[in-house]
Formats: sequence, C-alpha cells, structure tokens
Amino acid sequence: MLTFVVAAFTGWTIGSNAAGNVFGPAVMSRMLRYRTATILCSLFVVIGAVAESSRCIATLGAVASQTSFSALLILAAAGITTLAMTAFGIPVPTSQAVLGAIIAAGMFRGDVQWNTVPKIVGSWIATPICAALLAGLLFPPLSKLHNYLRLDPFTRHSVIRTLLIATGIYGSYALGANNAANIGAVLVRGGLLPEFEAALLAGVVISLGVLTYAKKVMITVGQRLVSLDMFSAFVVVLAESLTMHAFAMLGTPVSSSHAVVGALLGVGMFKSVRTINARMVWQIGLGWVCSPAIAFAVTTLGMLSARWWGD
Amino acid sequence: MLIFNKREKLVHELLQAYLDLISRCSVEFHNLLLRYLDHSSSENLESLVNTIATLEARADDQRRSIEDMLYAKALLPEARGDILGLIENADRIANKYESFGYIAICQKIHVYPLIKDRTSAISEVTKKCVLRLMQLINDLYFEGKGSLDEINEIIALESEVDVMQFHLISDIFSSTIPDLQKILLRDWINHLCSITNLAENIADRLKLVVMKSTI
Repeated sequence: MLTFVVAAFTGWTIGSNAAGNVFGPAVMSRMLRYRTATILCSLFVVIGAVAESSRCIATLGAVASQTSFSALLILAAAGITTLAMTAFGIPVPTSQAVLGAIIAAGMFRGDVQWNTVPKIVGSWIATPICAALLAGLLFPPLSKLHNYLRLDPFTRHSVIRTLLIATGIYGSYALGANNAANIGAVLVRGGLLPEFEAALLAGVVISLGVLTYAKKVMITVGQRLVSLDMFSAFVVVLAESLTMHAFAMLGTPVSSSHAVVGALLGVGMFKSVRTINARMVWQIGLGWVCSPAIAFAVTTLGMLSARWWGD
Repeated sequence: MLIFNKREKLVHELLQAYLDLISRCSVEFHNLLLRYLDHSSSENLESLVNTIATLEARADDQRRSIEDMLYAKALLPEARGDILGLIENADRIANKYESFGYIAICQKIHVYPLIKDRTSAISEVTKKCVLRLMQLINDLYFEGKGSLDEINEIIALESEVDVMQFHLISDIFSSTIPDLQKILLRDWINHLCSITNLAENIADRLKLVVMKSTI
C-alpha cells in the first residue's frame, strides 16, 4: 500500500511539472481555460499511458530487477529528488531520477544490465538536440505556409487556437506514453502490478498532478513561450510533443522540460532571437547530473539502512 | 472563416458595424459641411451637428461594447491591443467631426469667400482619407488583405491636407479678414485638418499589424 502512495506522489509531481510544457501557451494566452486544459491534458495522459507506454516500461524495467521494497525505495527516491530540485528552482527530469534510483537498487543486488543504460542516457542528451532540430525543420515551412495564407487576425486567431489545443492534446498523449514508465516500470518489475494496470495507474496519478497542482508551472512555462508569439509557441509545443512521442516509440523516457528548451532554441535560431539563456542550459546540465545522482544517493542510503536494520 | 466562438464572432460584427459608422460619419460630415459652406446658415450647421452627434453616440456605444468584450472576456489575445488602439483613435476621429460643428456654432464662424472652396477641398481629401482608412482596416481585419503601399496612401493624403492647411492659413493671415476672425478661422481649419493626423496615427498602427501578420 505504501508503495502505491509513494507512486502516486511521484506521479503527481510529474503531472504538476509537465502539464505546463504542453498546455502552457494555450492557457497563458487565454485561448483555453485552465480547467479545460487540465481536463484535456489528464484525459490524454491516461490514454497515452495505456496505449503506448509499454516500450518505455520495458526499457526502464530492463535496467535491473526489483523487489517490492526496492520499488518503494526507488519511487520514494525519485519523489525526494523531485522535491529537492524543485526547492532549488531546477526543472525536474523525473525519468533521470528514476534511472539513478534503479541503478542504485540494482547495484546492491549486482544485477544492473549496463548495456541498457547508454541508450537511456544517450536519449537524455539527444532530447533537447532532437527538439531543437525538429523545431528548426518545422519552423521555416510552417511560417512560409502561414505567410502565404495571409489570414486576417480573426481567422488567424482561430487557426492558431485550434492548433495550440490540438498540439496540447497530442503533447499530453506523448507525455503519458513517455513518462508513465517512470512509475509503471518500477511497479511492473517489482511484481506489484501487471503492465496494463501499472500503465493505467501511472497515467491516473500523473493526471492527478495535472488536475490539482499544474497552475504554477503552467503560468511560468506559458509566459516564457507566449513571450515569443502564438505561432512560434505552437511550433515549440509541436516539436516538443513530436520529440516526446518519438522517444516513447523508441522506448526511452525523457524530460519534457528539456524538450521544450531544445525546441525554444530551434525556433529562436530562425527568429534570430535569444530564446534560451545560459541559466537554462546550466539547469539542463544540472538535471543530467544531479537528478540521477541525488536519487542514487537516496536509494543507496535506503538500501544500506534496510540492510543495517535487517542485520 | 474558421471555428469562431460566439463572442469572437460578435466582436467581428461589432467592429465591422463600428467601421461603417465612422465611414458614415465622414460622408455625412462632408455633405453637410458643403451645404453649410454654400449657405452659411445656422440651421444647416445644427443639422450637421445633430447628425454627426447621433452617429458619434452610436459609434461610442459600439466602441464600449467592443472594449467590454475584449477586456472582460479576454478575447483575441494577440490582436486585442491593436484593435483597441484602432477603435480608440477612430473614436477620436468621430469626436473631431462632432466638435468641428460645435466650434462653428459656438464661435459663430463666418464663411468668407476665401475659405469656402478650400475648406471644402480639405474636407473632400479628409473624407477620402478616412474612407480609405476604414476600407483598409476592413481589408486587413476581415479579408486578410492590405499592404504597406496601401497604408502609405493614407499617409500621402495626410501630407496633402498638411500642404493645403499651410497655404490656407497663410492666405487667411495675409487677407483683410479681422484679426479675431483670422485666429478663429485658423483654429477651425486646424481642427478639421487634425482628422487626417488621427488617420495617419491609425495607419502607423496598421503598419505594425501588417508586419506582425508575417513571420
């Protein structure tokens, strides 16, 4: 029971942090009500989790075997890492915390499948790069089409609102498909739930985070994106969603915050504006290193404590 | 027209109606002013003021409705600032038309032969400028047309009025009209010519709208 409570907490933090990356621009520009956005997002996160998270669950689950205790410890470590990094104002890549914790737990039993790790770590680095490239590839033809159509401001508004909502829905689906594995993989490998139920539970707890505590991050991310313009914000969310979905299909959970930063960079290059700063790059680097490191340390401490109490 | 929601559709219709009212203000003003310049009767002048005041009051109501919709319902986030700026300046145009008549009534402006034809010519260019402007706003906001060249036409008409204003005022002060009347006439003419300045302000704003519509 405690494992499920901790899983719910970790999923809740994912949902509360990631919803802004997909629906932030639509909500901040008041094209869509916050409540409607969270309902749409939570619904499609669950659908994405159930429909397409199995590959990510398989990849993350293959890193090391789990017991019900290690599953609890991993989810708790990921939750604590998320809290700690949020306290320092650093975007939280939960998937990286989960991997750090899984490796720590696996090392105690000596069954870490190291050959799976480079694929996952490589995808972290590839996430912002792919998002930047995608945004860079999408922006010129889409902006040419936009300029060719010469829509009046009223029609343009309707079109962009529709596109932002559609990409928000797609992004939510991709988020569920990608990030549900952070919870689901641990529950499946810990023998606590079968795959479908684990994916469903992960989707539901992420949705709870979206429904109950996404406003703050949505405002922060939304403001940053809409400060460009609505069309560019749409391209950023589209590139981010495509990246998340592509990695979900490849079976590696990645960070939506990192995908957004990459997409911002890609759009910024074409608009000749500085969309990201050194602080954001620094935060990504910190996420790559600190997130798995803190989770690794917390899990190791937990395993040592358990061994000590056991002895 | 794609999936407009009801409130956006209403703003769309209100804005179109508002532009029609300002255009009507311009046409009515010009026709009535010509009659006044021909006959110089206070009856004609009062008719001018009443007609323009009615149109201006209706335009005010439309403007308030548009502002309420855009602010209270937070619609059209990207275009909101531009639309509010446009209707604010267009409202000043209607106010100028109205106060021009009031000035003539209150200050008993006498129509001297020297100013008759030239005031009418200024009014003609002003009307052309305002109508062209309203058409341009209509094209931009409802048809997705309109170019910087067309906006520059408005600016050219404003310059034309500036030249006419300068020569007319110079001639007034070179004439034998009594000094007090000269000053009243100068202010009256300046008032009329300021309408194209407002049109130019709107044209400048439209330039930004055109530039923003391309990425």
